[in-house]
Amino acid sequence: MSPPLKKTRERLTPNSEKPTFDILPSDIISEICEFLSIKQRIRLSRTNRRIKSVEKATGGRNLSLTRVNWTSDLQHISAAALNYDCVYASVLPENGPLISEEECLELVEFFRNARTLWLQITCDDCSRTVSMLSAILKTIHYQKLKVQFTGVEDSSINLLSALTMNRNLSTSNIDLTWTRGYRADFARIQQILTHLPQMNRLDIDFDINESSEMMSLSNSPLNDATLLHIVQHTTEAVLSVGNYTGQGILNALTPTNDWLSFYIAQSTVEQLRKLAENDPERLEYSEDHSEEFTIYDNETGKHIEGWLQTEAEVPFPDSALWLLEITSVPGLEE
Amino acid sequence: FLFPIKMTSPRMIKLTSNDDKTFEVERDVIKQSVTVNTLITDLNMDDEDVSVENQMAIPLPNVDAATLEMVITWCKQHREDPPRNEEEEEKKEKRTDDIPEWDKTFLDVEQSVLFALILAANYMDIKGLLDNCCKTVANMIKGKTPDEIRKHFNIKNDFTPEEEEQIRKENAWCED
Repeated sequence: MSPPLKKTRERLTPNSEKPTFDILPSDIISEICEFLSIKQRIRLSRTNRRIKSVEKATGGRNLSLTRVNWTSDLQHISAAALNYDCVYASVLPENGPLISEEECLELVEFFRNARTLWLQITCDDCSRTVSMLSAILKTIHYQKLKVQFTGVEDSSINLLSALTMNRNLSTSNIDLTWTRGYRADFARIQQILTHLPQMNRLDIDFDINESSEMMSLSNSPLNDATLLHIVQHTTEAVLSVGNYTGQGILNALTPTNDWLSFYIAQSTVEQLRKLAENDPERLEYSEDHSEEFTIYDNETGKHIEGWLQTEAEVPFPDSALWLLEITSVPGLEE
Repeated sequence: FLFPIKMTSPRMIKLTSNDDKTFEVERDVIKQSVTVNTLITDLNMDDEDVSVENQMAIPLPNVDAATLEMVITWCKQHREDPPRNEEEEEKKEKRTDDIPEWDKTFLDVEQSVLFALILAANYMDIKGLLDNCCKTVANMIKGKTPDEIRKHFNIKNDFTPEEEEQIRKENAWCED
């Protein structure tokens, strides 16, 4: 009777010869590869055919900085090894400006389950290649992600979804910026923002200018619902201007956040003042030295302090913009 | 109130190698082998009333006596280790400079012995031992060229010269 084979792991029966490296099962060679730097893995893979194919199938390369420049004219990725002893640079598309499927598959293979400390992406709105980029980066693990969407049409949804959904990001920092006259599908952006997983820090910025469609606060993907979700799923968050209400801010803020800052309109400031007048036990508003809000949490005894600062440059012609910075203060009894 | 203290000897399990040598090992020691542990549980071998003399030995047809003895020695040394959290292990940075000193000395053996240990740890599903063996092999590979790796591990080069040249070109980016 032999012990039950609980795992699918390849098991080799012993032969009469002394075991050598060659007879190690593929999954063991894979495990050994995972302990090697990229350079050393490639050297090992050059020893024979089987080891080469096992190394290729292993994935999980350790990287420090991965830079992606993905536009309709150029699709390029560079990645420095974790110990900086070599830098991988993808081959520029050979046939015309767009990456071929074969070239894409090579990149999918290289970045499969790779771990990178920093992932920096600049991406425009070439929807065909962005879907390829989503496939390439679908399984990459990152500590810090910075994405700059530079397109005038929206192609960010699929990429954003591939980079954030169904991932463990609890220790990750994410920084998202949309630039150049943003014309996005606000409803879908909102949908993604309200489904983001737990993460350490989230920065969201919209570059608002005259060519942008987001010249009205009501067009911002950031609103009470997204604020509530982000507050519940981050330790720190720095958010762009949003269509938040006073009551929405009050409902969202809890003492679980270490740091939160976002822009609010003059009308929202007025709403917060009125709420303070109606419920001074919950919300205190002081104008003594600076515009200051204090929100009390009766359950935990903690309170949240917020400071308002006017912004010198106001991109919205019809609305003053205030920066609200929130920090959590422990209760006295703790 | 004073109660008489019942001295109980540790529960023992019998394991038989593929060359028919039987080892008695404490239940608490061999729990690190997921394969053996599962078998003990599935076959209700944890029955306190059955003495070790009357107990069925667990055959390990993929492990020889010399290797099994080493596996048991390793398990004894690591019996107090906290249980591994595989999810946490997955998140950890994969490094090879954290092999405990005792393991470094223990695994400083001939290659064939090390590979036999790897196969046994894999078969018996002892993740801690397997990890440290793999790290030891990785440390042997580090700093070597493909030729040196082949020589060190006696790996047969089955690439044609043309294939070798092609691979060298493909991977020029990571060589000095």
